[in-house]
Amino acid sequence: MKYYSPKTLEETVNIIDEYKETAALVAGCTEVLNRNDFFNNKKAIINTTEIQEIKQIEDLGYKIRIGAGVTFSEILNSKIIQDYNLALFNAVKVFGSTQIRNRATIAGNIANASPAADSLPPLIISNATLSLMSTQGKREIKLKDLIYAPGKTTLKPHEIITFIEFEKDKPQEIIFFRKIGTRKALSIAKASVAFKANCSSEKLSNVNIAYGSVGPTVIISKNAKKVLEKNVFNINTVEHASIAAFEEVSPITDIRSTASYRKIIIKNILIEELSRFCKEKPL
Amino acid sequence: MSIIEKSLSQKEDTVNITLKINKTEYNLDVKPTDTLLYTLREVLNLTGTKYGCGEGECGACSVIMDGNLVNSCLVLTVQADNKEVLTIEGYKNDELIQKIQNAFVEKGAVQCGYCTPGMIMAARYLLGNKNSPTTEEIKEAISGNLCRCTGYVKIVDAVESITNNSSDEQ
Amino acid sequence: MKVGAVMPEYKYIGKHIPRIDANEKVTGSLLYPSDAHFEDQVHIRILRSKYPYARILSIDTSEAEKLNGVIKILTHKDVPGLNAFGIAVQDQPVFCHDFVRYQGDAIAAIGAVTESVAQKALELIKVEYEVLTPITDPKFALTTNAPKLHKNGNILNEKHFSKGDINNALKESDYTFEHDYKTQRQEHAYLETEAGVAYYDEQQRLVVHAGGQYPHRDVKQLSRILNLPTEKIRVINSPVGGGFGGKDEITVQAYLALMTHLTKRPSKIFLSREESFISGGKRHPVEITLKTGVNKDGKLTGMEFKAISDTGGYASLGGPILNLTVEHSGGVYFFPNSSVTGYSVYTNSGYQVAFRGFGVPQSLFALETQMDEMADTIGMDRLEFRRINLLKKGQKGAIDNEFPLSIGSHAIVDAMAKGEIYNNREALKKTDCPYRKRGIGFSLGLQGAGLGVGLPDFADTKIILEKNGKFRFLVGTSEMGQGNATCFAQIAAEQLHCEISDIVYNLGDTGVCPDSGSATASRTIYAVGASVYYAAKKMTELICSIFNCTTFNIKNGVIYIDNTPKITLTELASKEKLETTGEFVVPTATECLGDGLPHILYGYSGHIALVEINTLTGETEVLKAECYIDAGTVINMQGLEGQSEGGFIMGIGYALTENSIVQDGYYVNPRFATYILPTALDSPLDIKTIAVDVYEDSHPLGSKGIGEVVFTTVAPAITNAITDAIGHRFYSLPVTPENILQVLELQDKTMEDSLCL
Repeated sequence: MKYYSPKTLEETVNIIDEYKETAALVAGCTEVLNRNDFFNNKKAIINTTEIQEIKQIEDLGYKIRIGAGVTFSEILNSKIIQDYNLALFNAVKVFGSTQIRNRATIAGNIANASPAADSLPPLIISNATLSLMSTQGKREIKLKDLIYAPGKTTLKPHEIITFIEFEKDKPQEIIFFRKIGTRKALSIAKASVAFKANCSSEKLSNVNIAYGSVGPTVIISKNAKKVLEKNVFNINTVEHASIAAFEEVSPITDIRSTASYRKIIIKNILIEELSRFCKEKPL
Repeated sequence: MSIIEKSLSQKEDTVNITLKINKTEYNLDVKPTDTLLYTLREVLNLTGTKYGCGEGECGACSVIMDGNLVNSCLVLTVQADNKEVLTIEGYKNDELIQKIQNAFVEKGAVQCGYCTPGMIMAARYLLGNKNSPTTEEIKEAISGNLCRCTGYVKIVDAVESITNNSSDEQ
Repeated sequence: MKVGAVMPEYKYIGKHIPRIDANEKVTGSLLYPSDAHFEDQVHIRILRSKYPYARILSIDTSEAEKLNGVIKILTHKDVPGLNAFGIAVQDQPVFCHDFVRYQGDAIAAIGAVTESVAQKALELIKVEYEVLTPITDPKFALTTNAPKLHKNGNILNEKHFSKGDINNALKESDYTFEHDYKTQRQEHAYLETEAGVAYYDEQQRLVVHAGGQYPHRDVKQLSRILNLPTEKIRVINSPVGGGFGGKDEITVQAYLALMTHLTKRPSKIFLSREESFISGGKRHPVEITLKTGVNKDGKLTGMEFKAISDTGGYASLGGPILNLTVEHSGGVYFFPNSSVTGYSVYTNSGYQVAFRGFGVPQSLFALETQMDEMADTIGMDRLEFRRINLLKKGQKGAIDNEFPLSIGSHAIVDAMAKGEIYNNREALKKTDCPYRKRGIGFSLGLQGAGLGVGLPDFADTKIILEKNGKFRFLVGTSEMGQGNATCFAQIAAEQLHCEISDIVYNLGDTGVCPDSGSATASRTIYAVGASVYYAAKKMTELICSIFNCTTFNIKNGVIYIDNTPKITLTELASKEKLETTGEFVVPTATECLGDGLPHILYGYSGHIALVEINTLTGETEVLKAECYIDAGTVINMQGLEGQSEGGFIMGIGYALTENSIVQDGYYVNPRFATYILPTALDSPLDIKTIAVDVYEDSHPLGSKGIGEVVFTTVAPAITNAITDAIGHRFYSLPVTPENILQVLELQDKTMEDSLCL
């Protein structure tokens, strides 16, 4: 087993090209070292933690760019993220533990493509795009088009994620991220909701809702979104939207939780979080 | 390592790295798949860092690497090349760790003691970055470290007793 | 904090003495068994059964033997003596030869130059199985249709007791209640997994150094397995990175002993967490049917109790554990009539062993839940209802047993009634949010301490004045974190009139320590502490007789008589060989109702918990707790609090999140990622521990053990609090957010109720 620790993206894609599927790409290792078989049939370990180009969080004016190698702790300590992507900030706050956050990278979380990945719902509601690179060139895709099944991505062979870009939070927006886990730390989500909507008029607009852990991949709301955009924002509307949310998610029962519980808490997360922003008293 | 062990490992590729553990440099040939926890305990005989689960769920293996608290069971030793690593054995040159150790003893934060090195490293990381954490911040800081004996209460008491907020200091 | 009473003036007993072993632990310099290693050690890995129940047709190690770096492979053929172990019943093979009876059953041990070679060799061993349908339901195991898992059938232990006329009593009662209860399999989750080394010492004894809870008994088990005389074997079982009962049975000791015995090289084993989950024993899941009768005046009339305890593939201590389940079925109350039945049943669902509480938490969950229901039905205050039914001295328990020694439940109820939570319950339960509901729950309980009647239960301690002027106490029980080493030092220093720094010790080493019995059954402070007291007292008397005085004082290593320095300890040691032993035999009942049945010494506890439920998510948070502990005379209050707080958080896990699930005989969640233990963020800091005023006359200092009572009554206090909050009673553990939300949805809360504006 050979080991490489390239310093540039160019070096990295060249080494990957040399080893192809026998290359084991690692960053924070917080996922891959839990798998007994990760190094099976691999001939080279390629460490990405020393690639300087992908370690920044940048405010590009109209959007934010995060390098693939940025850790969750760096995201949590970033004023840019706190100011411009509140949902991501709140998702990272409840991710794993201090030790895990100090190592886990944003690209690692994305590429692992778990249905329970905490960074995905907040990135998706901020219209995230990924920059990808291989020896064949560079391209961009929308994050929502990356993952098509648990653990499965549309990455081409030997392609790596280099940057993640997303739209900044705007003024007059309702934003929240809420996760219900198995406990308060070191916990995988049973269900999560990332929400963003413009609230400058009596109806919400530009509503973006992404649900995590309640489908094979992140589910992007169609119906709850429609209910909120078509009706005056009040308790009634929230109730109807929450029922629509209940109906548009398809969780499973597994070791952590049941399908029916997950559906109910998706509904109730919307009720609990959105009711805070309603101006009227209950009927 | 025994002679047989050495000859077996020469068949597999090793990487030459420099580890800086508690300000001491070690030049080692390690397998790329070795974890930092393994190297600390089995190669360098620094057994203060403990194995609890091997999957980052208990924090017993916590060390501070380049200023970051990490689970050493999830760090490949090769990734620690040329990085400063602080383990519990580094207390001799670290006044803050010594303060934490004394507080743990005084406040009854140690029972079986197996989680203790990891807890102390977590506390060291917190207090190295914040000298007046709130109680909630202390709980958050040790929430990646499991303890089955103490129920955490006296561990939090111990850390709290040496923050700048505490009346113990006055 | 003590509730009333005048204590003698002690220098160390009851005072704040930091743990004497804490320094080595905070520096990371203490070597646990998992830290021990030798240059040329043989690394051991165990091949374990793929199936929960199967016949072994053949075991072929030939391919594995050829692998470069393999030193020795052991199977049943290599066991020189008895290929079996078990504390009470030796029905568990060291290496399986005909059947495997649970998923973790051991089939072979591979010894190799490195762990990775051992792992590769493990994969090369070919085992041919005839896979059989596992028995997963203990009720099915009781039927004649079920295959016999052991030669005497599937019932390990069966108990029936009756008192008075239960049928008539229930018929005549104003109210009767009947429910089925179910408790789950709980994992000990000690942070240090099963591990250790074996080697030969200078006296050519085979030494096994592995975490455990009774080294002298481990020697006996190993002597049978190796067919070696006990003098040739030495076990060192201390320190331990957590035990809680899970290291009482032998775990890895046999593999270490055999490997070193047969290779003549040191050997080491260190189980991975997953292997520890799968191969290690768990708390017995128990199904209980409880029928109780009560009259309008609040007096209990009778109890009919039936328990089926799933002991898994092998016995270990399943028999005695059932005995305690049955013995404690009546809790702290007086039932004039009772019928109590229990079965401990073999299945292929894992393997169950001793775990803090030893069969009692299961009974108390059922009883304390039903006590609340009875109180609510007759309209009586839940604490008052408990008080008027407390068993008093002279009254007999559910299995017609006596309680001649101290009964702490009355003091506990008195203290609870004066406590902050009880007296402010309405205020504490207020929330300003319609979807956050709070509740307060109570529970009371007891725990038989010591091994009960019929089993040898004694402790010996030796004290030596060493040439360097230190008093060394030698005790056979291990320090697993309970803090008993510190308490023994306090007891010794108090009696010897010396300073704590004059005390050194050896624990858990059969090479030098006498047999002090097991570190289990809440007996170490009581029995071993007493033997330390007597050994120290004899030493003091010996010194007094040498100097013809009635007392003395030791300061800075100097003995003072009448405030005059007489001699230094080092000088005294050079002149005289001072060595004493102390003995204590645990008092037992006069009539034996079964192995270890009944106890006469009981510790008592009571818990009050304040919880808050988020009714939109079903999540429960424990906000505040009061832990009332009857410890008799408290040796070290900080130690008691530490155990109480730890026991409380372990109780939160048992009540709300922990469940080691076995499906069709297979472990579903054998990892910390999926077996949910409380982290610091899941644990309240507001936990008050109150030691109630009780003095146990049978102990020289009036003390009792508390290692189990700090846990045993926690879960029902929490589940009763949940019931208080949401008005629904739960009959099985754990009570998860899924369970709670299902109930709340059925309660049909309207959306207007659940909004918080």
